[in-house]
Amino acid sequence: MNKLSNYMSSYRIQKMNAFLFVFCISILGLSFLVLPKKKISINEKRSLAQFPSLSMNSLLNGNYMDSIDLYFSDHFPWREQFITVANTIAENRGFADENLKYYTRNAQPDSPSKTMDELEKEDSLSLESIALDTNQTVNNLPFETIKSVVVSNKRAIQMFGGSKIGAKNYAGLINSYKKAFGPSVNIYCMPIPVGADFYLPEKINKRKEKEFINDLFQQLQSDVVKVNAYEELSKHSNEYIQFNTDHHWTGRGAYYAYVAFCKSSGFDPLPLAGFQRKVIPNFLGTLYYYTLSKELKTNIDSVEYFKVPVSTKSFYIKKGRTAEQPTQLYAEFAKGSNAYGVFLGGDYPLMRIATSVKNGRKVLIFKDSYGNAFSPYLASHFEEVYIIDFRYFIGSVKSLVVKNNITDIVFAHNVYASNSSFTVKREMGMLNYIAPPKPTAQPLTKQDTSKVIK
Amino acid sequence: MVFSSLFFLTIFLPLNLLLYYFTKSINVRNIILVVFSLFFYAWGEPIWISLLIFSALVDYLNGLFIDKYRNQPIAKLGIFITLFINLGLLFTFKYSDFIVENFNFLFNTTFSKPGFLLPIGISFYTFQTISYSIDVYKGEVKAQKNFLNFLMFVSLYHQLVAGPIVRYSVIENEINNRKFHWDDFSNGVTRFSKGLFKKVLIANVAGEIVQQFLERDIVDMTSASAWFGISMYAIQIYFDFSGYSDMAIGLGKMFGFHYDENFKHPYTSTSIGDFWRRWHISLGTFFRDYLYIPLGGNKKNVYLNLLIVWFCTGFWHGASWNFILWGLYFCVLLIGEKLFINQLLAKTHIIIKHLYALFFIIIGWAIFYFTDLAKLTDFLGLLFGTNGFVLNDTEVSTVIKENIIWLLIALLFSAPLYNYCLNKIELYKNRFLNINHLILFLNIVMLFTSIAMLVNKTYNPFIYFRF
Repeated sequence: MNKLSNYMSSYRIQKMNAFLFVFCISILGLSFLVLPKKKISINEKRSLAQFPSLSMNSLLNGNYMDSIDLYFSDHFPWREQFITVANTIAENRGFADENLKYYTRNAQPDSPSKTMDELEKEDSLSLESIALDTNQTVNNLPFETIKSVVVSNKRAIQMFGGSKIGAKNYAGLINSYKKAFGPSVNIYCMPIPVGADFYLPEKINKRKEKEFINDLFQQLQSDVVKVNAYEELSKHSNEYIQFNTDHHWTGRGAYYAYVAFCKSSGFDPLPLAGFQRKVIPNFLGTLYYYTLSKELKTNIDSVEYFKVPVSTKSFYIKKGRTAEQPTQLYAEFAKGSNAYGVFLGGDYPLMRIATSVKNGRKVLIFKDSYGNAFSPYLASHFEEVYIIDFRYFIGSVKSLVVKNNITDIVFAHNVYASNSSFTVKREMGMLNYIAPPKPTAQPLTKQDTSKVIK
Repeated sequence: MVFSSLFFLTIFLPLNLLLYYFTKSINVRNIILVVFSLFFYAWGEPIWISLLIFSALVDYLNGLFIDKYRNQPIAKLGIFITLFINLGLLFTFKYSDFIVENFNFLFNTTFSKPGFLLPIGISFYTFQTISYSIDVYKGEVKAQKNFLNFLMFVSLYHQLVAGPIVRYSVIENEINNRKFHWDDFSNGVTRFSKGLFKKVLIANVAGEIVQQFLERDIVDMTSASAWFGISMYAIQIYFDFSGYSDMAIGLGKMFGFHYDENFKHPYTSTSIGDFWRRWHISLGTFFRDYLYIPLGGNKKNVYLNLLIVWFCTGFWHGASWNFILWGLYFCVLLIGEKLFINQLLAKTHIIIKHLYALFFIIIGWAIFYFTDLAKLTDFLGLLFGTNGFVLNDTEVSTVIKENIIWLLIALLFSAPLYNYCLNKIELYKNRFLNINHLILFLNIVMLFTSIAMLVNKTYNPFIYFRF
């Protein structure tokens, strides 16, 4: 009798086991089919995958199915809750070591998709530029692909390796610019550290940025001006020069680089007190969203910026327009996770800042997003500041320099961008650029931005 | 398609189960399984599905042919055809690049490589069809008269892409006579959930650590990180592979099939011979029954036979020299065990035996991992301190501490401890804690945590692309 009831109970529970399993997976599948789909994920700051369009080709090579898999996980029901569970599991696999945590993502978590900032700026900014002599799109930049991040002492820092080949190629690029422009144009090389040397525990990183920068400087021609921003920043590494939760440096960090620039170029740097200081609070940056570390959330950033004391007029080119558009040097409405956008208002192919300075000097800056915080300071010393974002600009730097009587060129890249062959390819392409034949109608995105600026 | 994908878990599988169980006729059910299996395969390999059907058709006809001319010399032709066609497919699609490359190297020629992409699962299904034809020839199974039924045996998605290699005799009776039992279905669910958990929460996490430690320049490794990295690879490959086998066996049970076990806690082995009786059992027995014994087995030329079998076992794992080396490495160890190692070990403590087996298994995984022989040599050197023994590596100790709970769970599942714990709990069962309730609860936990990890798009590799 007892045996039978035991059997009955286990029979019932077997049925339950089977039904529960089928029920759970069916409900998830059904909900996926029925529930409305979101376009963007606020938490991850990116757009979600679109349902792929069917083509014979993508069907036969399997790409179509891969895209569907991607679409599936991007729009999975209760996705955010599941991600929270996954992150909780990830954080509890063991015990963190003395405030030190490695984050590595090997698989690229996101296929090419735009970040939230990019989406929001879409209508004001040309994004779809095409690389000059590569087919790489701007979404897959080597240095923007964050690889290894360490969270230590409530601060996220990117690991930096650096390579001999990277230094050699980048030095080669800058030497080529010097040769092309000769003595009439000053060329400055200012590699910007990303905080790895200053903030990573020494057992993980032993002066790798410094090693890379020294290696780079040694290979530059003697007539290239070396701006040692690293030295200047290292004196102030206990100040707020690098964000805790973002991969960028702060306005204050950029100020010390500006001091280093002035020292190398013979200008007198303005004292920090000479600028109007403003602050945007509550900034959680990219590295927070990359790691989703709770520790970082307790050390939230604020974006401090120092407005230059000269009057300026800024211009940029809107996607598909042929004339420059006025803009602001500081996008003071920037807030939240986009607060770093206060500097220049984002990344444009080309910007021009006209200032009230009269000394016959005009500067061109090659930059990645690190340069955004740095560039405004130079408005205090040059009649005009031209800013090229190496990812988006298409056109001839030669004609830009000659036409506008540019006297100084600054390479203000962070060490990642400096170490990347993509940067070298792009900027070499701009130096050797030959305009496409006139009569053929070029797509708007391929327009020579150097020609429309004036 | 793979089991560890959201589409499979929440659309494909429930739809397959519902359609299957809403029909009553076994023929219709078999058709449903074939259609779903072909779709499953076509999801990743839309073109190469033709090869699968071709291989199935050849051996279907072969079976009929052998059956018709049974006991006549011409029946042997069937064996010849199955070997010729199936091995031909394998050589063309899996080994042609390798052969051309080595031929060019040896004779200084410049033939261009055919460059076929290896169709997924080809090594598994060709072996299944070969075994079928041979078994029909030997009279161990009857020839299948219905092509659809035969195609179901070959293409059944449970074991199609990553094994186990299911022999026809195992499911012969179940093709037309499957009895439904709730305990089968329930055990299937439990087995599947466990397999999914092993794949997603253990193997994939281990795989991430492997990438971190082994996918870098040798100069950036220390002895500690090399040992740690390769041990993590041992965890990854075992949990990935056995997780897949668990899922295959579990799915089989949900549909009324009973496949043989493929893994029996191989890392608890006490010798290399023991290891190979516990690791990928369906492959080992395949080579034993269809190669080693026909060659003469233990009766004559035993060393030559072993050499051939282990060469083939290694080569089966991929078209690269390191896999051959890996097979021969085990051949040497097994011959060594036959000759003297077993006698030496017999007198030692059980712990020594375990350490002995684990040590050589892990070295084996290094040979398996590095397809570049130069890198392999450097790596083996590093393991044994050619770069000096650096055992104090903060990256290793950080990662171990960060993953210590996970690591303990992995060890729990590597040994038969999981079932041991459940049995212990069952002994103390009382009306408050029924073991079945606990299992049901664990199944749901495993299913949902696995889905959460998959939604988060964590690292989810498919590591059988070379097989």
